[in-house]
Amino acid sequence: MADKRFALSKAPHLRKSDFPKVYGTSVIMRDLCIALVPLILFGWLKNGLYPFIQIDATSFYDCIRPLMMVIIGALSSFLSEFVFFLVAKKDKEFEGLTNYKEKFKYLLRKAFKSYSIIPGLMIAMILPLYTPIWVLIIGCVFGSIVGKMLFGGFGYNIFNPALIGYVFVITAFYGVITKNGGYLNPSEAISVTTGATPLNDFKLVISGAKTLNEIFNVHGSLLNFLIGNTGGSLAETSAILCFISYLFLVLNGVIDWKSPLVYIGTIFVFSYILGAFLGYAGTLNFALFNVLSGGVLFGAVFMVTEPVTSPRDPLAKIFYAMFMALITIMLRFLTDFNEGVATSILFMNMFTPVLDIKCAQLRVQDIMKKKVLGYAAFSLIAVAIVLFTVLSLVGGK
Amino acid sequence: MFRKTKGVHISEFPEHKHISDSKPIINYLDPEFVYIPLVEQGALCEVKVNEGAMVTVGQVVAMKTGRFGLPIHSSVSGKVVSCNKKMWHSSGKLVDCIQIKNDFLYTMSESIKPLEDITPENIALKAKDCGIVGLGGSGFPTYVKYQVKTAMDYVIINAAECEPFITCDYRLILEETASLFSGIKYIMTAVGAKKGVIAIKENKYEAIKKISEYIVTNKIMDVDLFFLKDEYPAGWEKYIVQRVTKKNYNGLPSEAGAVVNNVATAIALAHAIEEGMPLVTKVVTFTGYGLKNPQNVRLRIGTNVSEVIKSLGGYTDDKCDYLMIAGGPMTGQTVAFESLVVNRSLGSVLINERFKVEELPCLGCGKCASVCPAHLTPTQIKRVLEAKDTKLLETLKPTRCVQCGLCSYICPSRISLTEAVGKAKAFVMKK
Ligand code: SF4
Ligand code: SF4
Repeated sequence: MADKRFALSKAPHLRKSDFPKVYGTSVIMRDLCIALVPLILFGWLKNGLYPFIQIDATSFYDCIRPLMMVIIGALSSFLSEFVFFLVAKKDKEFEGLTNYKEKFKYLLRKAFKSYSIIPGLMIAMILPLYTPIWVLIIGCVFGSIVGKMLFGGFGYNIFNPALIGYVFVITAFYGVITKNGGYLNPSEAISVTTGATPLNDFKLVISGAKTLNEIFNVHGSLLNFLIGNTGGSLAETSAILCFISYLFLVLNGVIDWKSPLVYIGTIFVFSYILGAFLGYAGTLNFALFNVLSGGVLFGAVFMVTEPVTSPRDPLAKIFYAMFMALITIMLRFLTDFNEGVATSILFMNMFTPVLDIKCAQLRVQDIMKKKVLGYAAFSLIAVAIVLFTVLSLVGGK
Repeated sequence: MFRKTKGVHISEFPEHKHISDSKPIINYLDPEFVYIPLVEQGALCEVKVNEGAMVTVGQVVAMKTGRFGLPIHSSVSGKVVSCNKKMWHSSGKLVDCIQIKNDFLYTMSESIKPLEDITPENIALKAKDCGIVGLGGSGFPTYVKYQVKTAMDYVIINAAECEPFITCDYRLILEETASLFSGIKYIMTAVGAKKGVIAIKENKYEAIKKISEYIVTNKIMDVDLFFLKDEYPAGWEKYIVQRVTKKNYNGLPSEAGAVVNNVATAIALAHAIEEGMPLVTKVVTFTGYGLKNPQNVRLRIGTNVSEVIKSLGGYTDDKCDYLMIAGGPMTGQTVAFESLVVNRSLGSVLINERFKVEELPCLGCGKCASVCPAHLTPTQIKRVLEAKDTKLLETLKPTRCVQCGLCSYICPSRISLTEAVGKAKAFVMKK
């Protein structure tokens, strides 16, 4: 009797990823892109189509500009990784290929497999509308190469590549961007006389130069903020759409539902307390304004949860979001710096490995005393940040 | 207060039980040869018969020596053909077997007689003499569990059967309810427990109905049902004991005042005591999409699995790249050849397609950490293991891993985390 042969493998022999079309890293990344689409469309509607219809002065080029930015962003990230694979990361399989067509195909597949378009997409979405195209391209190339590929590519990068690129161009080319038109789309440029975004104005409220009501008069009601009809980056302003994306991502199992809530919740509560110091004790508007401006929501949904650079451990995720919120608040209230969200995320990225390992140890800890001490240590850091901010703020007045 | 082990309900977790759970158990009790494996729980056994000798059903043909010694019985009557025939074992290795040619007379050994004087000591002794082991897959000698120092509070029957595909316990509950209950009675006597608990997953409606009807019609007061959530790994001993007794333990469940046996074991014990029958037959689930006719089959220990598969109608597609798994899909072991023998701890044989999907770098989603029932962080353990940082590795407690397979199951990048954590566990234990 012939003995039938079988292959061998290691348990478990049943995996969710057995059907990569339904579940797997590629599906997660695809869903992430899908979640961006409504925001991009809204950005186009608000910044391209609406001004085009309203004011005759805008050209057709202005109308499609938002979409173009996004596409160019994605393409330049893709191409920079493609070139990177060609120049720096040749492997055995590549050397084995003989004709150019196969080599080309191989590189395309590699660049595609490392989900290269996502940083580019995101950079385009969070940059000001009138960022010159060449600046955008520099940002995408910088983000993809320096922020991602030099660290070892997808899965190994420490910092969020999109934010690396973003922070780089916004600091290096800020003057160029504002000269070129900056944040405001053509119709906003006419109505908002100051030429400032809500976040700029918010800083004035903190320093006491303006009152909250004054800026609401300029930027419209809170409803405007919810819809996203305010000045700001290309495609991150709509609170409602961010929330829908959040739901979509959570329901599809792409992101953890807790960390965005912790991030936003901490910012909200803390802004309320600080608002009370500034004389807005009776109203939630101050805190709401803080949460709804400057890309907090977009950051919470897409950046705080960005899988590669955020902690893996469920407990670490919560601490990460909390600390990040506190740092955002600190940057907002204590400095003139506009990029509070982006900087705090990049800052916390550095602590991801430490948080991860500490929380992993904490979660398997049986000895109550050690466990309590662990939590206490984390909480102390948080309290220290809070105290520092409050004292500086009160002292500054 | 203690931190409970976790179970995860995975809504789309494929149970795949429907392909075999509605069919009654069939018998395949007349193999031409049986091959009694000479390995129990990784330990070699001493042969007690010579080649050419005639043996009877239930005769001791080998002895497992050492701390948890146990006799091994012949499952047919006939002539010993060879004492070192090599066959594949459910551990994935090739082992020596005693090959016996069946004379189809089934002459019983005279040692087979019911236990008359039912005392705790006698029950444990009988369980030992009849070679009863944990039939849920561990193969741990059952009598050891009955040698308790103090009386226990609970006897828990593990009827969770949380692994996908397997349905043998479920069918046994439906078909041998009475034996199950007398088995529980004997275990309760053996360990002095006042309370019996059948822990079953809440979605096994038919079995629950059957048990509750039995309890009502026979007015049984001291045995209760306990419903487990539809989670994996609900069949983990610790998971059940923590939920039933509301107490934690570190080593054995007896620390929490409980003895856990699975359904098939309790039934085997009932047969051993009432008929004196050693463990020579057992029910094995033959299932998987690679089989034409998935089925629960009652077999003699030592039956060659390839014969059974043939008698069940063979494979769905002879050319397909199948895996043959001894045990459940989450924890089972693949076997390289079809000539696998049924040993006492083999619960199921699974034939499924092999999926070849490429592994990607860790995306960092953290799903592995959030599903782990022992609250471990598999991706960190893997990383630290690769960095060979022994000190750090110890603080992550890989020794708590129960090899449930959930982390590998859930990983979207298809990383073999269970394997890595298993290696880390061995690495830390060795130190
Ligand atoms: S196999 Fe081990 S590490 Fe993985 S989920 Fe199960 S217990 Fe946790
Ligand atoms: S589940 Fe897989 S991809 Fe996700 S963190 Fe764990 S190892 Fe990484």
